[in-house]
Amino acid sequence: MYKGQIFSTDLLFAMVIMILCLGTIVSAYEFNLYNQKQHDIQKDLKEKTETAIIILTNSVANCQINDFNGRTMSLAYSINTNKLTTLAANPKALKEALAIQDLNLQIKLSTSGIIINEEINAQNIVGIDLSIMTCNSSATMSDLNECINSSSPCNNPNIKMQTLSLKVEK
Amino acid sequence: MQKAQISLDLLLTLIIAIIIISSFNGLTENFRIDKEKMLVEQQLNDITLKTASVITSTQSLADTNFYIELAINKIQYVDEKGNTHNIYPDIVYMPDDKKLALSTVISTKYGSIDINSFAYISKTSNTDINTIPIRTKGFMVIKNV
Repeated sequence: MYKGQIFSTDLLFAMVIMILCLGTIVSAYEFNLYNQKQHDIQKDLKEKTETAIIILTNSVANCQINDFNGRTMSLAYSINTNKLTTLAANPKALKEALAIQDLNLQIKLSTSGIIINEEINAQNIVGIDLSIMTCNSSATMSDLNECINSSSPCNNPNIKMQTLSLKVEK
Repeated sequence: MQKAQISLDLLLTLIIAIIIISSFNGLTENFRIDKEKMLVEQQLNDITLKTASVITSTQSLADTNFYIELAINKIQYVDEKGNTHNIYPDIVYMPDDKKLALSTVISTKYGSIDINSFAYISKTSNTDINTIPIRTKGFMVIKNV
């Protein structure tokens, strides 16, 4: 050590170690923030997807069948495949109705096949599978009664049990 | 080196120590503001999403005469003096964009910061949203008209 010398090897080592420590703390903080953000995005997506599937199967595309008195019955957790195919022709309007216009959407029915197939290839994806009743526009109360009263899976051409898969991506 | 003399090394060390401590203070304050902003943003997002989900879900009740009083939580944050604030967010429905926007203002050492959050909603034309009671009663009214 010379007289008036400021930078000693000790000081340099100490500075290097301190910068490394500071770097580790900052990167741990950033990592934590990133994880929390990802978790928040997934949580938001899950809530939006759950709302979308409820609206799709209870309001936007659900089965409406006339009962024996001529009154229209709106069936919960069901899909009218004809209605859904018509809606799928304009995915933008369908997504607006489901309040997910900022997300990419895929809808698939286990027997009827893919209804909407937008590109999904990013990290943030949420999918829900729901076992539902599907009908077509010709379904009647008699068809519904037949399916309710049948002991085995119903073979009615107008009403089926299918799995609805709804997938969204941000 | 004379008796009772303060060395140049000691002076330099003290100066460097003071600089490092004050820069740490600035960094800590920035971290604190970031953390508060994130927490408030998260609280706003939670409320926005919950409210948007309820409004959108009312589509399945459209054929009924529903009346919903939805409780809105207060946003909580801690300012630079350590005081805790609890405030109701401002909620605006933008029918043209089909958006529900929530906003609030938090005060920090470096001034006020606006924090916003929005979510898309979908509702039938018969569904009425009234956000006026939030400031006084802490809930919003969603009903069929």
